[in-house]
Amino acid sequence: MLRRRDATEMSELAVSNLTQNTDITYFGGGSIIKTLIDTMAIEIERLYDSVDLNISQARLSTSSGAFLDIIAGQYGITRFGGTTGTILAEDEVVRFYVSSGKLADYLPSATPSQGVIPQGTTIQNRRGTIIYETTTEIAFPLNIESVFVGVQPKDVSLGTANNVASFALSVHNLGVPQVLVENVSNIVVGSDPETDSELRLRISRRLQTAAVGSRASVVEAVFSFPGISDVKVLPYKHGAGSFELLVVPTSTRVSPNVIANIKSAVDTIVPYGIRVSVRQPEGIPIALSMQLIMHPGSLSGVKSVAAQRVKRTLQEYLGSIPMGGQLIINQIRALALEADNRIRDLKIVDLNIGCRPRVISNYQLRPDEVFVLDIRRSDPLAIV
Amino acid sequence: MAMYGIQDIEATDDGDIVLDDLGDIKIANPLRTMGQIVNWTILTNRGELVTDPSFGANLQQFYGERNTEATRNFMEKNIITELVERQIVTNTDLEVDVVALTPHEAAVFVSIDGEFIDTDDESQFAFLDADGTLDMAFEYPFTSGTIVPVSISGLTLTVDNV
Repeated sequence: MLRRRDATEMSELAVSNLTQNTDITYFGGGSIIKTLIDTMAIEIERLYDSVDLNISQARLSTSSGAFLDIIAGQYGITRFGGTTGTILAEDEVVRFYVSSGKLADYLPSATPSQGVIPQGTTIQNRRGTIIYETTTEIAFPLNIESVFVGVQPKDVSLGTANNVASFALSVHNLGVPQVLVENVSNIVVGSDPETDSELRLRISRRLQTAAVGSRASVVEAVFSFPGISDVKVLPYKHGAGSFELLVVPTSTRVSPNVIANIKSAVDTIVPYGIRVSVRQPEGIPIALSMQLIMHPGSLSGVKSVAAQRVKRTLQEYLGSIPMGGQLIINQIRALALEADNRIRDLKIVDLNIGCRPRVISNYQLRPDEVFVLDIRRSDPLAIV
Repeated sequence: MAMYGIQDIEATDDGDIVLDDLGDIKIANPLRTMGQIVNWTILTNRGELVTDPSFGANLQQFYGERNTEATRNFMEKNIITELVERQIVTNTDLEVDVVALTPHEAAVFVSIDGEFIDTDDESQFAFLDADGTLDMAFEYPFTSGTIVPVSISGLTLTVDNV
């Protein structure tokens, strides 16, 4: 930052000055003046480093680590320490289900009128790199095909390592193959400790948000929660003195728990008497059935593998349609055919959107809508 | 016999900087400068001078050694090598003798035979002989390894070639 001189350069300059301006002629080994010069030059070099460091750490754009924390403290900001990826049952993210029959048929309980999923049941991805487990024993009625459960990472360390894409968790340890498990949306509630760049951005925003009640301060409050990709502020939603926050998740859904926390956070910074509502995009349930036509001679096992690949491909496609996006039938067909080259043709048998049968054609979502799988069906993506 | 006109700032034998009558840092004459260089060269061990760790006669390395002729020859060689290789003094002008005083002590004599341009001699521990030679003496106890300068004019040591 400064025009820096190293000890050698400063020493040479001093020797040059003394040679020209004094009677001193000896600067070799054992010279007292050279020893003094070199000692001072080393100290001044350190001083340059110290001044450089202090100047850089005193400014927001170049400060880092503990020094940045000090600057943050001046604005009443503390660095986020990170969160774990804990999911509640009411978040409706992880569910156990069966394709046929009732869930309690396979997971009976000692209590006659209900089924049960034991506490500590593990749910993991196929590679076993991300493992969650149920936080409590889950009892459920006899007449249901699926049940949502609360889970937490087996490794409870902070950070994004336990975040997982939708439908990635598909293996459990119940030992009952008829019972299936899946996470119907991304799990992104785990966050790493805030980086210097993120904290720096938050401090810079603080100047704008210092006056609480401003739009910037509201947006800042929302972004302090994990799993949020955007937020739309809709003023006068409920008349004068009100506004609505439409929180856009990085996945298809934001946990209701997070929504409640956002509401609490925003309530603390809006002026008295202002009404705030927070909601996330409306989930439009979607389900479809597809018939695969395999190349002649394909074994039934091959068809089963192809069906699984198609199912996963469709899950990814539906999850990738953004809020207000469009469902394109030709894209579904193309992706399904590409999923396995042993598929000769396919036929979309039926399409249900918003729990109602639809003509098989493209579908345009409204600006605040997003597709979610119709979990009221035991198999919303039925590949036959 | 070489001519020496080197000048450094003046320091006491203990290393304190000397000021002149006006309060300025005093500049030593060539004789005094040479005396200081020889003094600090012999008193300094390798690594002690942070700005030049290789500087010094490194006599500390003989700490605990037996006071034999071989050891004393090594000490002479150390001093000569340091003063000559650093071009402080020419080989022909320099004479170093290390002699035994007692079974555990040696005396180090350094003699530089040269022409000093400024012959003003206010040295506390060295003086210019009438024949133009700078003579210095040091006492080296092998039991401590710490060499001590000794004024030749006040030398009362008994030379005993044990």
